[in-house]
Amino acid sequence: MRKIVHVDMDAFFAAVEQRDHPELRGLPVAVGGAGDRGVVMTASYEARRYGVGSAMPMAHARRRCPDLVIVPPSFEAYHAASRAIRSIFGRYTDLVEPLSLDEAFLDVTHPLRSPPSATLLARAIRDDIRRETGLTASAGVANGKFIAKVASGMQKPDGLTVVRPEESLAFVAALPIERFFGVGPKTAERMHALGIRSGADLRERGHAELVAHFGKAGGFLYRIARADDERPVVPDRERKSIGAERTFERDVHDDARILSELEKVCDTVAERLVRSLLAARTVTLKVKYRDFKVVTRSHTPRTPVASLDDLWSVARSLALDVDRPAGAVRLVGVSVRSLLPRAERVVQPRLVFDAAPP
Amino acid sequence: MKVHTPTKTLGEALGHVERIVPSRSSNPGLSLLRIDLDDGHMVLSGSNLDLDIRARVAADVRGEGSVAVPAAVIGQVVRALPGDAVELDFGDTELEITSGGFSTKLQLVTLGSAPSLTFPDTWDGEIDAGALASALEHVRYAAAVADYQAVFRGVRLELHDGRTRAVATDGFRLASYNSELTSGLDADLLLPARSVDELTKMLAAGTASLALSSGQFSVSNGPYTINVKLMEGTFPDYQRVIPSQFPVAVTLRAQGLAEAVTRVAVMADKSANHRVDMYVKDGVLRITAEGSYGRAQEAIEVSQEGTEDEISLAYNAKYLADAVGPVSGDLRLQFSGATTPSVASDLGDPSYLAMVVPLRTG
Repeated sequence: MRKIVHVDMDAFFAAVEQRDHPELRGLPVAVGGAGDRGVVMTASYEARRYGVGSAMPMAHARRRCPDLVIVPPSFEAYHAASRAIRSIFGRYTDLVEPLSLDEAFLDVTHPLRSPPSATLLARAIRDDIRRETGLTASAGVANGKFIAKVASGMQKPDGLTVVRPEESLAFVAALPIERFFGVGPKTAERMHALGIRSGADLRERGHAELVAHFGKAGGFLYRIARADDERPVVPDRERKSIGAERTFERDVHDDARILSELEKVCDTVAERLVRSLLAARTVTLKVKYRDFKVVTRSHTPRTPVASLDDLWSVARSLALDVDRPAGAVRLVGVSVRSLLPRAERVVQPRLVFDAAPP
Repeated sequence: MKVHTPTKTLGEALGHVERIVPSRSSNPGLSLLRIDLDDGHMVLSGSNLDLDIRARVAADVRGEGSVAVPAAVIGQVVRALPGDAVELDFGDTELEITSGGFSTKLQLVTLGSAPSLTFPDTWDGEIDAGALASALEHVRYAAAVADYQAVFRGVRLELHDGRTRAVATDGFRLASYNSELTSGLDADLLLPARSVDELTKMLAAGTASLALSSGQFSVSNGPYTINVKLMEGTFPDYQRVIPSQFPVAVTLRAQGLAEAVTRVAVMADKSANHRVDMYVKDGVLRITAEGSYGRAQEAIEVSQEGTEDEISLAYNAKYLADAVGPVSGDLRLQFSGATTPSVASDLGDPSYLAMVVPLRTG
């Protein structure tokens, strides 16, 4: 039986700021750009109480929480904290799969040091993190990645949730369908239409039925509903690309609709890019037609893509470039590759003499 | 040929000329100072190719003739003279300089080696010297120092009927001084910013005479005349980029803001465009900066108006301080948006307007 721990730092960027700047402690803090186009990268728990959440436009966040303290990101500090956390993980196991700066899966089936109990080990890791970085982490312990990850989110912040192997099935059965991996609002709606609201409902459906409705994802959900999650923890997985795509329930002809879906896809990719503190050199657009023909187009802009604005402007022009010979579109996707560490960009823009004033 | 003059008088004139004449040059003639004695006058002249200068020195002159000497050397000698008066005795090959108990003999240089300079005899117009200097000084800071597009290293001087305007921009910020001065000229000129520095130092009180000839703008004020070689190139159409809609505007003491920016900017990150953040809300302007050494903040009460309640933006601290610099009393700061130009103006002097583009962050 495998023992998997999922460790997730609590409000990581905001917590680093509150640790480094004591005057921010107890205040609603949002890390991100303060400008009109700024986006909340992480909100402190104080800010979350006002409904401020990640990826929310800063202007929106400020409306929700007028006293919000906006702090520009200190990427160096986050990287340093992330390195510290990873070196703690490395004491306990070689099998560490980082998902981002502040989140990782650890396979502790055969740990490098005691305690042998995964529960005690997760506690030891959390204690080390608190003592050595002054930050808190939440952790989930289970026999598979999916349950471990859901569990780490159960008692945030600063919580430890252990799902014993014999509890796995009941744990999954009780989960609302929205909590399952890959089930977004759209898929959730379709699940509801099929009468699937929880893990228990999901488990009653046959493999063929789920695959018919949800494709490959349906097969994955079938197994997950049975707590059958053998996905290995892959150490040092250097992330090569970040991508997202959206399949339409019905094929779409309408350009405006395609672009608006594309923008949502860009939003997802940009958020993951930003949260990973990465920028990307190359953007690839993927369009799948009704006849399953796939067209991809790539572009490498002169300066790396580091924000939603950057990504959207490239993806949009790629999309407008793709000639669509009357074919209805079934799927749009965007991915970015040639990832590089993100430098905080402070640019002095020029006066634009050849344009009308704003 | 002999000259008697107060040391101070000669020193002052030499000071102006020496600043312009290069002490070393690949063209050795350029480092020379020409001295003309004529009709009871002593006249010093020199050039750096962009700028020619002529200085008349009030002196007791006997004899006439012209010589050339290395400008830097005679400058050094005269600065160090012990006496209040100085006597210059021009020989065939040497210039003897005597003051107090000191004397030196300075080798003369062949006159033909010195650049041949022409200054206008007739003038096309005149302008209040102090006011012209002030117009140029208000905008000079906004011109580029390093090489970018050549026009950004110049100061535009617009001379029209009843209107004199100086404008400078380095492409990131802009300053303009639009006055009702009359000059009698009708021209748009582009002056090298470095020549503008010398011109403003030279302009004192009274009236300055102006002349315009091909590629050259000449100004004469008091004992000094200079020829400024004009720059070529099209100055950007700056009027179009001045915003007209300002959702947020504040009024405050210019000095208070300038000092606060300077204080807070000590913590600003120099590698990140010297960024200071500004947040205006509820009649309070907050400036913050954060860099590798720490963070700083300051709150200033302001009188706030506009259609929006708040604005948050970031500036290069130096650009902001520069824009505020020429304002002595109350400053009006108008924000067109977080990423579009902000406008600073002087409530006590409507001639001055400055524009700064905020930093784009994140």
